[in-house]
Amino acid sequence: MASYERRKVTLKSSDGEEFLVEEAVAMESRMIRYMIWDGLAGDVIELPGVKGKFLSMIIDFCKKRVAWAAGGDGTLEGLKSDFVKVDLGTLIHLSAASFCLKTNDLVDLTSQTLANRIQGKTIDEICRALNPEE
Amino acid sequence: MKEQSGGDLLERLGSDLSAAILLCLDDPADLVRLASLSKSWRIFVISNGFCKRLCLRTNPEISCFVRAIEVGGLSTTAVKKVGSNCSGQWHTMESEHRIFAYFGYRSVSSRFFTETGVESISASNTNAMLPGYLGPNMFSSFWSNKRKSTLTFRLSCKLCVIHEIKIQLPQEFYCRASKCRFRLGHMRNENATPEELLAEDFIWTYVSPEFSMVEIGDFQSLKLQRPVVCIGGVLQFELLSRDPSDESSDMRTLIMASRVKAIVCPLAPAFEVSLLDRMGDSILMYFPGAIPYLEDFFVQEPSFSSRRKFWRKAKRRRKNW
Repeated sequence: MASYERRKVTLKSSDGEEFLVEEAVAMESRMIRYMIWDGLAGDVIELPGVKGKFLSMIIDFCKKRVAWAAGGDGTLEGLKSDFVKVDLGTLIHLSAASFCLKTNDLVDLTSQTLANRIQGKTIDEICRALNPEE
Repeated sequence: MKEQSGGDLLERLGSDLSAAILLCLDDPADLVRLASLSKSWRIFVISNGFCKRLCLRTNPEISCFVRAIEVGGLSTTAVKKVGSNCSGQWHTMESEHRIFAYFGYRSVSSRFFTETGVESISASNTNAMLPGYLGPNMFSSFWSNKRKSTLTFRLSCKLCVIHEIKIQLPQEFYCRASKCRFRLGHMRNENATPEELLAEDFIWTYVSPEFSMVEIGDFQSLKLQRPVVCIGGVLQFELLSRDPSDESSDMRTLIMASRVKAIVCPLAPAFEVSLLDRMGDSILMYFPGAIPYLEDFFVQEPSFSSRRKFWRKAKRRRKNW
């Protein structure tokens, strides 16, 4: 399956940012994968539900994971923990973006991280935990 | 008062993503607190039955409960407002939320643990059921099966959560039995005659993995991977013999010297189980009036004015988010 690894595809976010990525990286997203398999994807895949800032973070994680799977350094747990080392507002956006892109393991990861912020807290603390700061 | 932040988060994430987050929670108290955040959170938590789903996830053996009924408490004393849109179905879901929230809390909270013990009474290899020794705690009768090396107990409470079992066998057993396992369940016919009891027509709701028997001179602890709900009150040990053909006649003496203890959490008087039919289906009944103190379970909510002040500040901050 080397042919699709070399092909590149452009992902366009809701705010007009474009990212040129390898098809193997883009296909980490189940939604994009099915679009490519079904022949519905052109040269540019538009993602109206995802902003550029968060799309770039997800693409960055997918690139690192593809590199790790090909025998790179580090651990998957390390990659995942680095991905969620963000503030609450960004985490919520990343969760929504991952859900939109159907990257199921990122959805599980962000959901578990958000659940960890709620576990064992009092009601006041949950209010603060679910209310993103600036 | 409209609590916007909680509702906004639910709207922002959507129901699927919010459900994915709530399914990661493993403490029913967290779900109860989330249901207290705002009206939209309350509707979301109750209508999706997260407390029941959590209990089913942690204790799959309770899937035999075809129905959960709240006897007394808010379900029967709530005053329905004139023009209320609340349907009977919503009241049922609310009731199930309360039932399984307390069930989940009760089954894991260590404050309710109690150790029980009993001396095993004699039993021969002749398939006879012997008079039960009514120990000070849980176990009331006992018999053994000559076809396989099983020790069967009946707990005095039909519904409890077992966290740990300790067993001490006489030394002679250890050269015979290399492993053991146990089963939890109930009689298929609750009102069985003694002859039917000997037929051992049980429905098992849980079968444990095999434990290696280790002679340590004291009680050996059989650590469970998770707390297990015992529905029906029957606990059966099966000793897996090193020699399957071993049917020694002095088993009676050996069994008499066996000792069993269990760390359990009784679910009565707040809960009772009513066996429905011979297929194992049953009804869980919840008696909230039997619980002396509910305040320590349902977290005290902050005052109305302090919450409104907090959400106003949050709304001002959120404008630039």
